[in-house]
Amino acid sequence: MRPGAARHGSAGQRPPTPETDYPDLSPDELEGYPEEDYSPVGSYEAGASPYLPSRRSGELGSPPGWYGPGHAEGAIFYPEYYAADTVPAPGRHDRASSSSSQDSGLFAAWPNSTPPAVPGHKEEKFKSLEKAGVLNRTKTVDRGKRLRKNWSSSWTVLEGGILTFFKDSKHSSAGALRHPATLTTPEHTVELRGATVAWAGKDKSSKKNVLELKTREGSEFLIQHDSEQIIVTWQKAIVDSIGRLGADFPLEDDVENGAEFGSREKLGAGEEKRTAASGQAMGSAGSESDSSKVRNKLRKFLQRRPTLQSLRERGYIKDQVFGCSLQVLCERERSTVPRFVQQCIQTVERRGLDIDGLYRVSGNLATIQKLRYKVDHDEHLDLDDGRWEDIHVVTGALKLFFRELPEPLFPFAHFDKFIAAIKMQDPMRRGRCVRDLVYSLPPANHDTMEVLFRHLCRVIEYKEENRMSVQSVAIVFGPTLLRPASEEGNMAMHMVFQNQIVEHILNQYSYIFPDS
Amino acid sequence: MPEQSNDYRVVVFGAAGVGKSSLVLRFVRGTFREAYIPTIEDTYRQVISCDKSICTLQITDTTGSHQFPAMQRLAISKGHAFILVYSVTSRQSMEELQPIYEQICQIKGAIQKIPIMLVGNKSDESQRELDAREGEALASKWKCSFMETSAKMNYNVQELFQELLNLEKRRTVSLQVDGKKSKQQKKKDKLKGKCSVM
Repeated sequence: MRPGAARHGSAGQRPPTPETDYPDLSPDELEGYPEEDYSPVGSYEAGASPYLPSRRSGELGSPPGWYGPGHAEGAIFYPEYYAADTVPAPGRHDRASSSSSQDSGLFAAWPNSTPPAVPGHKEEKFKSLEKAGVLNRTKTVDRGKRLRKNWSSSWTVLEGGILTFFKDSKHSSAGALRHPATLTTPEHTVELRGATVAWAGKDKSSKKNVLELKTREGSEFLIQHDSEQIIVTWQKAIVDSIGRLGADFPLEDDVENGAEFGSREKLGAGEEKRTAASGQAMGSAGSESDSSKVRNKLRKFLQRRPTLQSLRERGYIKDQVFGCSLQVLCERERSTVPRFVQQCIQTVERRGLDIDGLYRVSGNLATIQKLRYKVDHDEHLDLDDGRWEDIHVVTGALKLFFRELPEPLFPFAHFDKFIAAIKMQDPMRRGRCVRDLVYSLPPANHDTMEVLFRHLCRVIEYKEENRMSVQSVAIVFGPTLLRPASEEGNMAMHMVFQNQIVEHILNQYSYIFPDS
Repeated sequence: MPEQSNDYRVVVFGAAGVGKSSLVLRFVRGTFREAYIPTIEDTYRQVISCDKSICTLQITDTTGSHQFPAMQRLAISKGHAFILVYSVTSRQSMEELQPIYEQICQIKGAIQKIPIMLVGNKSDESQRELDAREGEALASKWKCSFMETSAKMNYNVQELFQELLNLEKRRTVSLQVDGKKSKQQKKKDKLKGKCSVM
């Protein structure tokens, strides 16, 4: 089935839907599709008739733009994904966009046109993913509590009665389309059951084309898109979805489910019944519907996973040390220097100042990752444990910690200022300027820098033994501690100055940090 | 830069402190420095003759101390031949070559056609963690050539680069459809001079 998928050319660029959550189509299942039902979909490569000729399971592997494991939805939705401005990736999807003009909106309308008599397999597959695209949205009310409006654009997916806003709109650019998997971090999920959607009045937002969505739990969202055509298709899709949910699963059935994630049991059961019924109707073997039952359950389960955000709010996920922002980490630890940094430094000063290539030679990466895991998941870290015997593992982990800070020790906002300061010709002015800049850093950055550089000065004192000169330490730490907010520009040139800044602070340590 | 397309690019990879720069400097300048300074990235050029014409051998000395995946990928995709260096005094340094080798395979695809030398440097050191057999075993696993060297003692350094270029010659024979005749019969030019000498 793969070759078929690859052939239609968009397989590698499919939009970032949570693809792994969808079941594969086996030829057996495909056999259950009545061919006339392909017609409403209508988006095929040039030359392919919208009315597919009669095909049976064996040949179903490679008709144009259609099959392949998990690709059914993808193929169906191309017209929507690539409609006009839905995805800002012009020129990359010629096939899809050429067909979109006539197909736009077609899909959003289909649920109405699907007669109840349609065999369950098909309906449910079509149903699972109803619409996807980039929308502007803001949450205005959270369970009755008003929130400040904060518009952001996000990749939005409507499927199975759940509206999911994905995180990080930056990634929903052309680049991300090539790596759909990187995008699939849901930020908000909105259970549409019992929700209402309406056009928002001018009092709600000054933007045009704004939809207001109110959920059963009393949360409210505004959804907006500049294109009226697109927002209308969304409105239709959401209304249809709500309508269907209301009809299929009356609210009275599950009063006990007031929770955010709704009743996965009920929904799952509903699907199951229908699947079973359709399985019988088609006269297929029981084992088939069994396996699709399992798949359905799994899929529903995966779709309804709580979001990372909600888990964090509930305190299930503790923030980690690596990759945590310095500020947050220090606040959590109620200090201005992370405990892990202090521990590493103490360990190195106790055990390894004289070791050759200290901070230059790298330790075993697998061991460093183990150490990192331990730090992230465990309160008690004993760096004198035999596993961390190699000092290069400890130094490697410390360097990794700094490298993984979301914002480097020298904050982005200060990067250009430091570069400008180090370029100054007059050594007096340069010295004062760097000192003032260091002094102006936030407390956590300042104090952590002070502790780290004091330690590095000690490392250099042992240069006869460890061969680490000021210059060498600076080269090793420059890119670890300083980097520009965007990697564009002249990386090599930055690197020279990055190292010079570290070198300067090492040389002028007692002037820059007079208190220590 | 008329010779730009005529460049033959060799990239030297390896863990921090194994002697990449020392090998390159010994080859290019014939010297050995005791200094211990980490490399960010340096490129050296040398004129060599190939197939009756001249071309530039460009040697890129990479960093072992940092992880710059983007720079590493760039160096691999631009490189024609690779030297993978470890130190015979550090088993860890040999292990660190594995991901680099894998990345080369991934980017270059048909690895048999790419000249690769596995090098165990610091062969003069008495405190070994690895003997030559282990290097040979890894080389046969990776289907590349192997040599032990000492940049300090000037042992096998010229031979290393010579052998690398020979590998290219041997393999271009089977790749003649490419039309890259210029890469055949590559010989190192004894001239250390610049293009202007020619």
